[in-house]
Amino acid sequence: MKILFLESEHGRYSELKYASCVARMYADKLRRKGHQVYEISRPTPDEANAKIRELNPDVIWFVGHGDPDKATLENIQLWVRSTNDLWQFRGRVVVAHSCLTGIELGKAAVAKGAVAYFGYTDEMWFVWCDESKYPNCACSEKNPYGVRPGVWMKLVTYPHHPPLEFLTAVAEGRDFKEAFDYSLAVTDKLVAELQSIQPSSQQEASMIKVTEWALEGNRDDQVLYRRTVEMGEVETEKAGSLSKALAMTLILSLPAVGLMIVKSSEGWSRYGS
Amino acid sequence: MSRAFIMSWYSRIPPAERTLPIIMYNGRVYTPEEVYREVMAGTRLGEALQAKIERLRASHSYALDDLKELDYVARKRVEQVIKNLPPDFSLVAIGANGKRIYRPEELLKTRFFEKAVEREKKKVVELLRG
Repeated sequence: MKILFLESEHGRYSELKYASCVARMYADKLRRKGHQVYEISRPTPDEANAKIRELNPDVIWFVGHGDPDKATLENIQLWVRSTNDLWQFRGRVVVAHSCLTGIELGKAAVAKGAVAYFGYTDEMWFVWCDESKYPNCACSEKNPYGVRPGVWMKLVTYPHHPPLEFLTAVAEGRDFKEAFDYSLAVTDKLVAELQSIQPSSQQEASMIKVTEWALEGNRDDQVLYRRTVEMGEVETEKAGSLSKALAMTLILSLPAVGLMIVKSSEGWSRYGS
Repeated sequence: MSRAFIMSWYSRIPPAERTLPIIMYNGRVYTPEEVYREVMAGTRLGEALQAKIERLRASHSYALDDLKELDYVARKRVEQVIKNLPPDFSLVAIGANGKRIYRPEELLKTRFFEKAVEREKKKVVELLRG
């Protein structure tokens, strides 16, 4: 499989390199498995477009600030909008490491010919050091907060794993739904791992907890659009919708008394026994 | 009511959760550590806290007041976690417009905070029933 990584580093600061450095680890892993992997560092929109034309990749991963209808690359330069023809995504799997593009851009991409689009329907959160004061926190064990090196590495990298695990699963030949579910399962595993850490201080405990919230929040907002060959229609997988289906199953299988189901803005939450 | 019940309940709570609020009584929130201390000391407050924990553990459903308290306790938990973050610690949301980097005190006004409250409500119920 031919995979192109568009590794932006700077948005307003150097926040994007926190995802890009994790992507580089996955790129190496995929290369070792025999895939043709290309990495473009700090791409401008023109450079990204030129590489897509030249390489004709099967999969594109990118990181950049996003909105419901658009995505940007290095230095928040506008790259694609849902109103464009989106030729960049045609015939390809797109993994958007970006906020909000799962609302509109992903749907438009698949409607205009993308094979599948993985994105987020809300803000995608992760841990960051103030790079003006503390450079080189990304993918590093160094941090200014006194967090133990191994723990810090987890906090600073884990929120970036799920979309890259989706990509890896697709490259390994899983179908899109399986790959999507796999990325959800990986998130749960990462959360469980964070919960098993014995914090060395109150401050470390808080940083771990906040990272768990980021992972869980991102998980509930990840979305996948895909085109089915038979029907030529766009289907959607969403973490929230899976929970809702599960909640409905639970409601239907419960005795008539003794359970409370509370609907929240994120879908269905279950309280009670 | 036996102390053994609270000892066993407390021992199952992960250490990192023991200093976060878990229950509300008479308008004040209490952590598992405080509950444990009061019960072991045999105080009236300890008895009341234990009775409340036992009631909530046994309930199949919560009354409206219990749910309001659950929301309050969850908010206090999230606030405490955020308050304990280093002041220059940040979270980033990579949206193209608007604010992108949030300091701890700024997180309190975000959807991130509200989502965390929802998660902590579930966590409190899990811990009470643990």
